[in-house]
Amino acid sequence: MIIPALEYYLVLGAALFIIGLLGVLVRRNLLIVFMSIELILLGANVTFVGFAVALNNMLGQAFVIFSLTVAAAEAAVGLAIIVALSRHRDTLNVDEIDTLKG
Amino acid sequence: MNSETLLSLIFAYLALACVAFAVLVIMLRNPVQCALALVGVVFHLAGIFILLRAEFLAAAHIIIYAGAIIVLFLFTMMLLNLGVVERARQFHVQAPLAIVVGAILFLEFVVLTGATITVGAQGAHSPAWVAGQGGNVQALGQVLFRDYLLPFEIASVLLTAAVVGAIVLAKQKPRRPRSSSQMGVGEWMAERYEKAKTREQDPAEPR
Amino acid sequence: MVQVAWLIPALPLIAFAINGALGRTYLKKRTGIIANAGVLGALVVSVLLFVAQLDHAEPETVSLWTWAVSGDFALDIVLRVDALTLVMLLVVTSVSFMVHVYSIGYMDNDPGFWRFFTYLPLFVFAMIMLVMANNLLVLFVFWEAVGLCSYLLIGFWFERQSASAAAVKAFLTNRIGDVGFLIGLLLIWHVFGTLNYDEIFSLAPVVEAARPGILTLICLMLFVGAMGKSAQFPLHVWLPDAMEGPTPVSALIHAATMVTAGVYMVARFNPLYVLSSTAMTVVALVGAFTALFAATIGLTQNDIKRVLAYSTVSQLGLMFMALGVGAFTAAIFHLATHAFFKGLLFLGSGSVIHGTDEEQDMQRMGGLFGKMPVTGATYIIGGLALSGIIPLAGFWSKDELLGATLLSGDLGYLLFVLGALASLLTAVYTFRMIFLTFFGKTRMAAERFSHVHESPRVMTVPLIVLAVGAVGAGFVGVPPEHGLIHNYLHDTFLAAEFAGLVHVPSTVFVLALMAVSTVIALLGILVAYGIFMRRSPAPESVAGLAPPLHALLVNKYYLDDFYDAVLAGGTRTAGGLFAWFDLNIVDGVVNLIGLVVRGVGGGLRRMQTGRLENYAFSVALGTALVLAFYIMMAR
Repeated sequence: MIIPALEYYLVLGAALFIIGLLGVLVRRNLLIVFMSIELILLGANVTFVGFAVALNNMLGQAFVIFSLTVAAAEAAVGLAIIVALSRHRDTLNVDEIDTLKG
Repeated sequence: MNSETLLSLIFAYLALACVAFAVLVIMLRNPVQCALALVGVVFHLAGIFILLRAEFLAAAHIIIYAGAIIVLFLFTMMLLNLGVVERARQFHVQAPLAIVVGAILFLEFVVLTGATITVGAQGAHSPAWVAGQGGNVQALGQVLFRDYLLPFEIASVLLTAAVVGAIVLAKQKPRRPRSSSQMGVGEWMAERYEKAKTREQDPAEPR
Repeated sequence: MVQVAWLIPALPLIAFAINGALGRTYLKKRTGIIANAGVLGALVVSVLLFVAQLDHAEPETVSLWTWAVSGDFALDIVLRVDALTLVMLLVVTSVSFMVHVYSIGYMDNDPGFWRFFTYLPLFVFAMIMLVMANNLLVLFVFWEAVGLCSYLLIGFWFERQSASAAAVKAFLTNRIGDVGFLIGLLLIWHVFGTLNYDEIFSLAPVVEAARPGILTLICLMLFVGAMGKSAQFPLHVWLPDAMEGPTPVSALIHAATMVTAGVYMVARFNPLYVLSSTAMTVVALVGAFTALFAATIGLTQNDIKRVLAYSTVSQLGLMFMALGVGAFTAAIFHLATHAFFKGLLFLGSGSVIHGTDEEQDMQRMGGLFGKMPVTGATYIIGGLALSGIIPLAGFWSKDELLGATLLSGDLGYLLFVLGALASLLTAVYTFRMIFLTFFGKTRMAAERFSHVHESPRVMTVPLIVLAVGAVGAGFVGVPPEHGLIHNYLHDTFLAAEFAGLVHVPSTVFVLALMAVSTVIALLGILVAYGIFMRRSPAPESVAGLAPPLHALLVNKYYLDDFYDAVLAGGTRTAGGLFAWFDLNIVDGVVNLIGLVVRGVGGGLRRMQTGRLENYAFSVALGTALVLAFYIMMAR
């Protein structure tokens, strides 16, 4: 039994996801972009757990463990990249890093 | 007030707080404050997990997010000396457009939530089964270490790779040049060339 | 004995291989010794074979290996040893050896010494294979190979613009002839079904009977090739320019051996030519015309080597004239004697150039005889031989050649007149050259004149040896019509006899002709003496008699300018048109496509901002659109 209904949890997850996505899209500071990505993952986690409880399936909760693993790995590597980048470019503003430009 | 209403109220508080903190994460100027807002998000999310009877994940989120990831963020900020409030423009020029698209996407999610994807086959792990295992932690352990042991171990490989990668990426380059006997031939030639070039530019420098 | 014939081409080839591989780094000056050894070996084996075959000059063949088999066509590398080949071999190897010895001295200070002595044995090898071939295709391969060596050696001093231009000119002009030769070769393959000499010769009468006229076409096509290689009008233009090469090369390749390949080839194919009177007439007329034509140009040239070059063209013309009237023996006889005295004259001119510090203009020489007596004496011997003074080599062969022409019928009178005029002019320009170079008051600056010196022994000894040849070589043809060379080559040119082209002259005729020849030569020398020694009349006043004619001769009948304007200019104009078409039409289309792609790409490039958040925004937008589509579909 799930209180309140599953839809509320899903909307909460969607809200966190969208806020995180907006953070990625609008912030210039690379650190905050990374935090926004964590928000996206949290939104996904809420959705997983909500479904797991609603559908009586522990797989959803087990999957969150993996999601946490990914989040941790991503944070470690991402922050290392930020450190390396700040040494080279002296900036953390995303829109100033455009060496991919064709 | 029955328990259902109470639980709904608690959910409403936790959900609103989550959203509010999340908005703070992406709105605040100071990255340190953003990180603290993220901690707020994680704590309230842990509450939501408890509401869902997923106690282990609640604890894991607090430990891993608040205790590890966000601390790592703070460490990085200190390492890079970015604690000062940046006066520079914080938001990208595409912000208005992004907000519109985000709003549309959110609306679509809500529509989909109400319409299509909430149906699914019921699994075997009913609350009774969970209780029979001795609680959420034991039940999760049963699933994770019996049915999904291999993916779990693979996840450990991923973490190891991430640790190694992070160290390699963030490692300081050696400041002092190595002696020529330790260099490769190409490196040595390149250095000689550099030296010759600087000498050429500044003849006053002693050889 | 004949089994050792493979040594003749092999020894120069080995010398070439050694010098080519090791010359630059290791052998350096020693390349000269190796090249000389290789050519000397070829000479010795040639002489041995010649002596061994003296009694019976039957054609013999030595099979080496099968080069290629295709269907029922097998290309065997077979060396042919018969009288004609042996005569050619003797001429080629002996003159080559003299030139090799001479070159050691002449090229002594040249930085390309090893390169020179790599090319030279290669040429000797190719020339030997050319005359020893028993198969038209092998002949063609080495025909091209000697052309390649000629190209390499004309352009030996390739740093000089004029030398590389001359090399290209020689190559291109020869290419025109070679196309004709190749057509002839393919026609023979088509008609005869074989390229083997003996098979072709034995089939020739059958073919002529079955398909009248085809032999004429084949012979004319082969003759086009001979015209290119042997510098006959109108393909003679490359030979004077070929004098840009080192003088020993001029002596060996562009006087004594390679340019005679055309004469050799026509003589070799005498069984075919005698069956086509049209082809014979063409050969004779082209030869006679070239002989006179080149001799007139030779009168006015001032570059000592160019005079000799035109003289060579003229003498080759005489040889073709003899071939054309069926006097094959006389032509080969003249070829042999000419190789000696023209080689001598070229080497002598090289000695003069060497001794005067690279002076080639005869108008700035004079009085050199006292300074270089050996060169001068041998040069005069060569000049007398060339003019046809009894009893030197040129006299016997030229006399026989003119006699055969005169006896050959109605056309023979015209040919004889042309040939006799050419002989007269030959004597004139030869002695003009000798007088201008060696006699009279010097026209050199005193300071330079004092530096004039005789060449070293290594250069003068070959001159002396060749001078002996220029004196003595004619005696293989004495008495006329019954000499050693006539008996030796008799069987080779039997076909001419069968065709009724051989006319045995009476003794009175022979003696009368000798007298006429001598008078002609002496008259020429006298004219030269009067104009260029006594200066009465002075050369300028002679030239003033007919200024347009003089200008015509000085400018070589404007033939080079004509080719330049019409052929080169036409090609250049056509090239310009094509270039315009290419630049504006073809490139225009291509560029248009390129511009369109570039424009589109430039537009698309704007999308690639390189900024992460733009890409992320695209992803979000895409997700929103996909979901919107999904929702629409779900309705």
